[in-house]
Amino acid sequence: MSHPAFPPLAKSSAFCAALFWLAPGAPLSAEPLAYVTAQGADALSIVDLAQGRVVETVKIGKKPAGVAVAPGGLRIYATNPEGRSFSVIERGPDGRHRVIAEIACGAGPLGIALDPAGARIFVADWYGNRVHVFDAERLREIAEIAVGQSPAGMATDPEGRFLFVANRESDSVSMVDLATLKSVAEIAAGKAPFGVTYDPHGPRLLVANVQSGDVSVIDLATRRETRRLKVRSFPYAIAATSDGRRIFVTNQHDDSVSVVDGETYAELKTIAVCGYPEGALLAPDRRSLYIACWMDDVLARIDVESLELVDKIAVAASPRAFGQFIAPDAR
Amino acid sequence: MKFLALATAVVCAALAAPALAHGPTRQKLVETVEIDRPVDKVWAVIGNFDALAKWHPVVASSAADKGNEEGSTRILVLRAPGAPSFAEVLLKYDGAGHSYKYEIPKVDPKILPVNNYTATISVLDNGKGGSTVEWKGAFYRGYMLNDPPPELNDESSVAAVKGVYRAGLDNLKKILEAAP
Repeated sequence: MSHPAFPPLAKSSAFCAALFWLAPGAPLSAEPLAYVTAQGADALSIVDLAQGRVVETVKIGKKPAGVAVAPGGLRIYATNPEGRSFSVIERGPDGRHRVIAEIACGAGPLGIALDPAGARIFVADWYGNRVHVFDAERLREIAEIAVGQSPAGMATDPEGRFLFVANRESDSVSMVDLATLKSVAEIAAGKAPFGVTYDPHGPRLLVANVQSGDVSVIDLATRRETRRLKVRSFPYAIAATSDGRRIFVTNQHDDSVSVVDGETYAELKTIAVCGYPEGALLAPDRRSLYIACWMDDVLARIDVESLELVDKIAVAASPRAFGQFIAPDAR
Repeated sequence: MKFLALATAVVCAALAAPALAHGPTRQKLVETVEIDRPVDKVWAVIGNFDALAKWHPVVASSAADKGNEEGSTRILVLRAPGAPSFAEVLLKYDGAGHSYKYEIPKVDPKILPVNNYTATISVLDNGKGGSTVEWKGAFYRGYMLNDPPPELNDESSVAAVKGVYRAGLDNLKKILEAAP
């Protein structure tokens, strides 16, 4: 397979490392873009966050849900649960996007994540109870990792030592050693854990438990749940500010976002945001939290300081944006 | 009585619901009706959580234990063979905004082939002196695993809920516009 127009992202670790250090305004680092999987449109809505509007819509596979943007933002992966595949999208030097592959993967590919270098792709198979591992350069499957039942959300630590996988039907999180690609621990969480976020403060893992309506705080030194934070109905995904001060949780059935103090764990506010808030992520500017609103077909923006809803950006039908839908922070 | 026909068809599908999560794709359904009556008149008929039986032709009773309080549970008994029944719980109530949201914690897929169902009913001013009533639902299909049987697949689940919404909305229009 060759990509004449553009070198594959994960060509070498040096290449990836270089991308981390590109200054804003450098040719490869344009405006931050959000890649919103639109389940109802079989498409990816590409939102220019500075302009606050969709700049491109790319058709991908069937009923897309999970998404992961590689460091540097030139590669985007999105799962198509009903197509039993994931799509690989590249951003060219002209800023346009094109699908370079759709890769068959398991029985119910849902969550998708990358290692910090963007060299390996992890796809959680909801029905297969395993994580499929692909080499990002060759786009070939290199391993399968047995995890719990109905794996959903995933996250890695910044050093890329571990992958954490929420097992929705096992009420647990699998901790996978990324050197051996084996699960080394299964950590008990609440009922039906779905979204998982790694927070370097602690370090701790934040896990949204859909059915118990709370968030598990897992201490990574002891690999145990140390706290349970009550939120609203059907929590789905979690975003944490880089300074560790704020934790945001989307509550699907409550149409809201819970804001929790990251130090005291006190609930600060519940923000009425939109119908069925799903994926949540902080923008590189650290001032904006973006939320995909599945029912309302918008990407909502919340101001992280004022905790107010400040914008709604129209996107294609039934946005989910489950995963790292903006390129990871380049620091 | 589209819903009755559907309900009967679904009753014939003898399938146990496995205790697993849900299919991969949540379904969304939005149905509306235009009613030539102002918002207040429409809300007076549908605004109470326990009022469903007064305007939905398939619902025989809809008594609620805590009125319009969040968490109030109404028990729906349907006008269908065997008087099938299930509970709905009020999640949000906005009297001033003419809207409420509720969920079905659990329902036999033979009655209604859905999982993790929530819905919102709202009455909006249509700007012409009348109202638009909007009924929005979000749910997973009746069969939780991959490769569902046809009567419990996404299309059947959407068709069943659509039948419920249309029967209710169309009847509501009829009741209200027949009144002076």
